[in-house]
Amino acid sequence: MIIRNFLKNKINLIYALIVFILFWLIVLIVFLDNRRTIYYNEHNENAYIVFEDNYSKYDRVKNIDIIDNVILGIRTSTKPGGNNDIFISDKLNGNEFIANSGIFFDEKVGDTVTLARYNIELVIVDKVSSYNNESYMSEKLFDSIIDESDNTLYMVTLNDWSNLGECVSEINKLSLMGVNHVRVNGYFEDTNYDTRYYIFRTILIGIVLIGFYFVFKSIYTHEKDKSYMYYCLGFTKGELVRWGILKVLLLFVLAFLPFILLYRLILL
Amino acid sequence: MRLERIYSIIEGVGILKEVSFTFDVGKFYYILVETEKLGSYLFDTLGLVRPIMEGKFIIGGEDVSGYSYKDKAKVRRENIGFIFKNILLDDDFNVFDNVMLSLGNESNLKKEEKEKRVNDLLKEYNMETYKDKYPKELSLYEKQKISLIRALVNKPKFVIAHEPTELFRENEEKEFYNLLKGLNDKGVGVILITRRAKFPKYASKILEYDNKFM
Repeated sequence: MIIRNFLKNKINLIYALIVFILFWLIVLIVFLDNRRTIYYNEHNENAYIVFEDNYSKYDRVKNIDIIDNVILGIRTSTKPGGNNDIFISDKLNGNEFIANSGIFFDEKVGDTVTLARYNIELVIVDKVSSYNNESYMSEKLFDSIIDESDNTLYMVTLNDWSNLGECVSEINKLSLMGVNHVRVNGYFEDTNYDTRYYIFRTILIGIVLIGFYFVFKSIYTHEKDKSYMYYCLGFTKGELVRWGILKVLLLFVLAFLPFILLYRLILL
Repeated sequence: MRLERIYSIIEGVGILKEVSFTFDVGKFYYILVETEKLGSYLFDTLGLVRPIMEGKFIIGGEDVSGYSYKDKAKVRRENIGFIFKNILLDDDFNVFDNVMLSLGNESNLKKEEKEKRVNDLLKEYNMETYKDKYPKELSLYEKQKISLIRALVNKPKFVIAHEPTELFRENEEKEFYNLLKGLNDKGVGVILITRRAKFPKYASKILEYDNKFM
C-alpha cells in the first residue's frame, strides 16, 4: 500500500527526479576529478620527489597509497665529486656506476669513483645529466652498504600528481626531519586550470549538498507533520521511523534505477 | 473513561491538576476552553498522547496511566478515535487507504475483514464513491467526514474531537454535528473540545475547563 501510493504521488516523483539529477552531478564531479588527475599525470611524467629519512621507514613509504614507485639511494661523498645523491638503478651490476655529468665533469666512462665513507671503488659505465645531479649504483651494492639505522634517500613518483600536497603531507608525517626536507623536481602546476577546477567543483558540490538537504528537509517536514497524526492513531515511533526510512529508500531506488541504466548506456 | 486525581504537564503548563471525572460511553460532552492552545493540550491529555504525571486514567476498566509508550499506542488505537482540528489526513494515500491504515497491523483481522469494515463504513456515511480520491480532491467537509470514518474504524469507545468544524459552512457544520450525535446511538462517547458550544442541545453535559471540569 505504501509503495503503490508513494509511486502515485507527483511530489515524490519530483523528488526522485531531483535526486536523479543530483546523482548525475556527482558523476560530473568524479569525472572532473579524474580529468584533473589525468591532466596532471600527463604533464608530470618526468617529475619526482626526493627526501631523506631512515632506511627503516622503507615499508611505510612504499605503503603510502599515492606513491607509485620508490627508488632508494644514499647521500654520500665521493672522490672525486664531493657530496652527491646516488640512487639504485636496475640496469647496473656489481660496482658499476652511472655518473652525473653535473658533478663528474671531467670523468669519462671507464674511470673510477670512490665512495669515501665505505671505501668502495665504482667504475663509470655511463654518464647522464639530470636536474638535481643524481648518480646511480647497483642494487646489490646498495644492499651491501646500507644499514637499518642509516638514513637513506627516497626518490618517489606518484600515481596521482594532482594530489602532490597530500603526498608531501604523508611523507612529513613519517619523517623526523621536519617539513622542509622534501624536494619536488620537475613538477608542472597549472594554477589557471586549478582555479577553474576548484570553482566549478565547489559550485557543483554546493548544488549537490543543497539539493539533498532540500529533498531530505522536505521529506522530514512532511513526515513530521504527519507523525503527530499517526502517533494519535496508535502507531509507535518505531513504526513511523521505519515508514520514513522506507520512503527515503523508495525515493533513492526510483532515482537510482534509471540513473544506473542511463549510466551504463552512455558511459560503459 | 474515568480520570482520578489526574495531573499532567505539557510544555511546563499544568493540565488537569488533580482532576477527577468520568466520561460515559454513549454520551456527548462539550468541554469549553478559553484558548486554542489549551484545547490542544486537553485533546492530547484526554487522548493519552501526553504522559500522565500523577493519578489514574481508567479506560475499559484498566488503569492505563502507567502503561508503556507502546501499550498506550495500543490503547489509543482500540479505544479512542480522533478528529483533529486541522483535518489531518495523509495526502500520500487515497481515502480508502487513509481509513485502512488506521487498522494498522492488527493480527486478529484478516485483510478481507479489514477491507469489508472500511467499505461498510464508507457506504454508511455515503462516501463510497470517494474511496479512490485523494485528500486534495476533497472539500473540507468531505475530508473531515473521512476523519470521522477513520476514527470509527477500530470501533472505539470514545471519539475525541477538537474544533472539528472550523471553516465549515453553516449547513455542513450542522450536518457534521448530527453525525457526531449519531455516534451516541452506536454507544460511542463523544468528547468535543471547543471554545463555544455551537449546538448545546446535543450535549449530555457541557463542561467548562479551568484546570478542572466545572
